[in-house]
Amino acid sequence: MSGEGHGERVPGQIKIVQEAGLGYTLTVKREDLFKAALGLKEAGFDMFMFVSGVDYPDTIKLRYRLYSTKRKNKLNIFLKTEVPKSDPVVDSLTPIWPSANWHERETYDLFGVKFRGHPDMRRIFMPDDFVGHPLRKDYKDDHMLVKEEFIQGTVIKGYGEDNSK
Amino acid sequence: MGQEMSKIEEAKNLTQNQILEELEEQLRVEEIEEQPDAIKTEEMVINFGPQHPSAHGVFRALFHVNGEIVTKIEPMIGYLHRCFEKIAENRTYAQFVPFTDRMDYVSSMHNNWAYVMTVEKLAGIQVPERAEYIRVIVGELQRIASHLLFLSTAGLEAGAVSPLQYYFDERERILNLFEKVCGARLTYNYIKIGGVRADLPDGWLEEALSFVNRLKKTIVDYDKLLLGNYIFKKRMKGAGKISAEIALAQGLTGPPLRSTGVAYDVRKSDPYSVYPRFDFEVAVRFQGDNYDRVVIRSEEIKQSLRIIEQAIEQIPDGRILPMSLPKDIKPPVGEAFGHIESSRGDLGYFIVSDGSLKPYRLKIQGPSFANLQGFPAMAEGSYFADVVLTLGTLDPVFGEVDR
Amino acid sequence: MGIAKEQQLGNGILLTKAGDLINWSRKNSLWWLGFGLACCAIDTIMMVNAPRFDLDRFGIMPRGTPRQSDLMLVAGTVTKKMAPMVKQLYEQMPEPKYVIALGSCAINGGPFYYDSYTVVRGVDQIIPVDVYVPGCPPRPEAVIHGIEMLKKKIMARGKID
Repeated sequence: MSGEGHGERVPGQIKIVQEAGLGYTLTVKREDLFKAALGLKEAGFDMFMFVSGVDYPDTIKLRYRLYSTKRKNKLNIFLKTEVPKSDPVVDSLTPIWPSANWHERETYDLFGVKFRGHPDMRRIFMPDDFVGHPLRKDYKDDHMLVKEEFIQGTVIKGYGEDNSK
Repeated sequence: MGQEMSKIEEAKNLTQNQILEELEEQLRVEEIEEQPDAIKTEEMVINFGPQHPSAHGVFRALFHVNGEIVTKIEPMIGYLHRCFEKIAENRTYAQFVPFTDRMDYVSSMHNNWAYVMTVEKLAGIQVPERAEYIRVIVGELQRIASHLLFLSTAGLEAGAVSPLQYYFDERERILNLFEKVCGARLTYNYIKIGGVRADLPDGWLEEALSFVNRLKKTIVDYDKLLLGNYIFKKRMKGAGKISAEIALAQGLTGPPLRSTGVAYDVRKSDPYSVYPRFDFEVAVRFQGDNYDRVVIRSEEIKQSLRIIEQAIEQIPDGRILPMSLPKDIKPPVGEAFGHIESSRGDLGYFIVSDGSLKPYRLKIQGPSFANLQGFPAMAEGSYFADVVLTLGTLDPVFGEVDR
Repeated sequence: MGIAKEQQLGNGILLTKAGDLINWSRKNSLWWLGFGLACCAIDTIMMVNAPRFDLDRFGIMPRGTPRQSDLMLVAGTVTKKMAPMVKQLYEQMPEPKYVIALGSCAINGGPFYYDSYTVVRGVDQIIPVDVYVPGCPPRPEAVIHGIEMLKKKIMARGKID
């Protein structure tokens, strides 16, 4: 599969690795994401299932899941890439698969990753005037009550000394 | 006199449906051609609010309407966003199982199963055989219960009020069975990491078998009541049509995709648990309209009954939890993805673990979210009354859309 | 006092207070507006009106619009995005109106009490509630018990309002 037209489109080393929990995965740099996705579409992957962000201290990793209803083997593939937090921009895949629309809006809403070329980049779950990106690890606001210790007793932040509100 | 007698006999031979079809033929009115520029019309924007008797939950949409035809639909979601993914980062793996019930609340066993399957993949836990068979029986019963609810609301959307009473009667029997096994009617928390929470009580399998035998006969009658009805067919056929290419491009899964001819069912394409041992078929239709989406779910009920029968026959005795189940589940560092075929489509969980007791990131792939994205493509250009029907046949559950 | 007078006047005459009569008629025909938001909506609103736990025999009927209903059943989690709609629909209902909060999420936020940035902890932070029915989700029998408590509360109102 790695020889089907990929080598000409994507510069550099690309190799499809089989991991234990995920199956087949392909890791690319963020500049090569669009070309790799185009190559995968031609190889028969016609369904875009989801994109998910994972928040790390300096980077946000993105995981795309693609599925094929036409191929005979290797039906499921994960595309992995990484985006630095100082400049969280990556190419949008909506020109290739229209179903990437709402998934990329969700990743923008919850993580703050902007997708270049997306037709409608705005929030989807939170109201439009919301400030912040909730699923980042360093997100805090007044409304959340964080449950701190849950194994040895319970200490609840935001409560008074006598456990009154 | 002789002529009248033969006419009466002829009329008695025709069934009700044929009489109505004949009358329609004779009463058909020629369509009037519209004169261009005769009356000036404007488009109107109607708000289909988040609280609505037939919105299937909290869904808001703006319809741009020109006369009776809907030209543009702008859906807005997020009114039930309950932050499951953030909550998951602060709970242990076992503590999160009751939360998964509340996502797709009409078929909770499937949610439990998908999450538990992914954690078992990540942590390398083997599930005993009896537990796998119990999961299959309970999962298929849940699929039947969810489809019975869908069929009654599909009837309500089209104006048929009586099927609800019959289908809910059958659904109450399934909920009785579930109550005997785990004590709850809607959110079960029954499938546990490693197996199931409690073994089946005595006499449960016989009761399930008698329910299956009863439903096999009654579903045929109920189908004639709802799906064979002339008005229902007229309203549903031809409305909300979508082709296979557009369906794949929009990312639909589950019964809406199978109604366009693409046979993607996770139970056959990527088998999990003990499904390879059963003999069943995947229901596929080819027109892609509302009627096909309703008929497919009725077919799936019949296939589920087949699977339950075979599973009840084959179920072995044994343990329901593995011998070496750790007290605190600490999977190794890594990522895993597991998916099942729920009653709405391809339900998947993506979990990233950092070696501690709590997951680092948990992402839920909900089929209703993907199906709802294809709703404008299906319903634009049709009459206003058909748009609500199309939304109904997609069967969205907003706990899963908004997570 | 009342019984002796009624026996004097003959069959078919009942002596009572106007307030009692009006309250009796109100409690026996509650028309509800279903505010079903989440999981509780399936078990407490849909299944309670289904054949087994029939609510229609108490005179309780669904109405799709707040302008014609006097009972609001709030079932499910209220989020910050949805809260203005709850308030708006409550204000559109004509007096006298009653609110039943069904399920843990409507009482105090339920399982989403901690670690959630959008859930409103209880619907009584937005509108006044008459009866609370606990459970996650509550059984249909519990919902019927809650409605019985509401009927007692209606009868206990002393004056005509």
